[in-house]
Amino acid sequence: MTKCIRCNVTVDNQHYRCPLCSKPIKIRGESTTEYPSYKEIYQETKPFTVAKLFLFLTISAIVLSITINALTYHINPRIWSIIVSTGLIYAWIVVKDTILSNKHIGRKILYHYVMLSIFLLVIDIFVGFRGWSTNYAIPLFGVAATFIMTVLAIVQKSLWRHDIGYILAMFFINLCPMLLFVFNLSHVIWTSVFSIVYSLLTIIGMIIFSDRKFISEIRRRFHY
Amino acid sequence: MKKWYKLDNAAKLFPSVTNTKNTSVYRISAVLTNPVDVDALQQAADTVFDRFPMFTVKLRRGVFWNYLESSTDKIVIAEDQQYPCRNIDPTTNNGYLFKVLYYKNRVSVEVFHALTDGNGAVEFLKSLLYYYLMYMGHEIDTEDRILLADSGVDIHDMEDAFRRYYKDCYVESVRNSRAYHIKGTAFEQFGNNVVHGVISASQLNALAKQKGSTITAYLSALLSYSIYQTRIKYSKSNAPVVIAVPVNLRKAFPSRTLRNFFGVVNLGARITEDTTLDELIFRMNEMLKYKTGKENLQNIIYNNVALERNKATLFVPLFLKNWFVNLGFHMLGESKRTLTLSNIGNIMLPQQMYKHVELIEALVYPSNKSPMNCGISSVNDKLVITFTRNIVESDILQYFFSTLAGEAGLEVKIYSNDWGISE
Repeated sequence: MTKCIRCNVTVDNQHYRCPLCSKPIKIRGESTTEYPSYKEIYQETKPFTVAKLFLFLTISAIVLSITINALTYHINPRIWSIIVSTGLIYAWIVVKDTILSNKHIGRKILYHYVMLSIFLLVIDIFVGFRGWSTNYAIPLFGVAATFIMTVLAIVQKSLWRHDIGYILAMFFINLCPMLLFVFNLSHVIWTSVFSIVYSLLTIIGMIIFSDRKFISEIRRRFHY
Repeated sequence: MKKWYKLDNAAKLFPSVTNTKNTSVYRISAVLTNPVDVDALQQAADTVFDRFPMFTVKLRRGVFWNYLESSTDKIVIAEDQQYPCRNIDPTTNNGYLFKVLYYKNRVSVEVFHALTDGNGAVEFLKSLLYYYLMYMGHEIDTEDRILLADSGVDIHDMEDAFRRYYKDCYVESVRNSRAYHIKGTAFEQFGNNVVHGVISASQLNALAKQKGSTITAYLSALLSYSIYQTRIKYSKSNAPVVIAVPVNLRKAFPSRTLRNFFGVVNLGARITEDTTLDELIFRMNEMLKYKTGKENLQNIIYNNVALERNKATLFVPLFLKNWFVNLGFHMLGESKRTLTLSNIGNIMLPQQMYKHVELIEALVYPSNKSPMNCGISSVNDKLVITFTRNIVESDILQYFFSTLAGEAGLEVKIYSNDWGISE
């Protein structure tokens, strides 16, 4: 142990410098109070990683497409860069949140579905809103997402134990196409009705084919 | 079927406010006299598993509240490699919210605060050390100071004592002003630097007694004074220094719970050029005495539980609750305190264990607004004052420890993990 004259304290052997005032201390040795060396952890953060490269390329592509779109607007008066940008963001979510992440599969499907719906809606709007996205694509993809979740719940034998939250969330999201119809953004009713009925039947099925585990799962998820 | 638990009243806060820079993970370590034997420690961890079912849980998200789901996965001990109080990634560590770590002579338990408070973590560490020493071939008489693995789980260990002691009462709310905040330079790589100072507990106690105060009040006063002398004195700020002191509610409201049961009292003072340290000690001591009186603690319980029981919060979905709780935490909690000083007190061990344990350390995680926090613990007449900080500047602790060594005349021994200090 060495005395740090400046701070008036004794300093344990493992230190090169006084931890309080950084004054160098001559002797260095071992001590029971020693912490691990963090040298390896310090080197962990690299300035160049594949993820950072992709982020940079994605942002560059978005900025460039907006620039080109703005400069050529007098030749082709369409805001196509928004479609490109949304597409790139969608691709980003696919890679980052669906392929590379280890989040729960239900969450991945849910996010994916929401992003895909936004992407399709954007395309539809910017190529002269014909309503194919709100009429058909979004409600039918909703049915598909619910179906995939059901299949996974059966195949993985998790039997909705961890997925019920997502299936219920899907039900509420499937109500949205109906709102589109109410607000006159959609003109085909059967697709929205179909998606609601389908997810409703899924939930009824969940309840009928449930075991005690399912009831307790509901209880813990919904306790208040 | 997997068992599940509701989060206790205090625990409900932590999942909402936790992120990589405000981790809600504290650490309690024991420095042993001999290097740690890994196999014996793992064996000890396996042994205590059944006695602490409220620890071996995973955090799950419900629609209205989070909950804890019990698990049968092993507690895997690991070598300490990272900086202390780092956030616990639930996708690693078998999904558990606490870690058992070892390095050389040190055994550490890092705990996410939603599981339990310092009291619960100390009980866990004590049991772990008891079995560890037993597997190392030492005979120890428990003297009823250790929770034994074969003693069975007591239902009282799991109670939410906040609910038991909740009583309707009239509480006047006083608006407090914003506290002074310590600012500093972040480390090149984010992490926590810890500095421990070891002093004699009996000498410090004698010194505090001589000033007519307790150790907690004395150190709070000295710390406030250090912040004034190193920072506020040279700035234009007139904000008060507020030391948040967590209080173990089990003393005033008997409970054996191993979950959270603590309240926080704030000791604040506006310090000026004329304030002397003795005056500050007197004020802090009076304030601490008043605020830890039973009536005031009852009010704290009421305030905590009333918020949870409020009819309006019942049917708010979890993601909205998270948002509101986070907002409230920053507006009402974080911005009104300068730092936290947590004294987990003198750890009572069976007589035969004392010779194997050199020191006990308590590390309180820092956050953005309070980049430096203080933990105090003692064993064997050795009291360890630990500062955990995520900023480079060490001026406050230098003043603090130098004053303890110089003016108070105590022998202070310093050691650190040297995070962010280049060699």
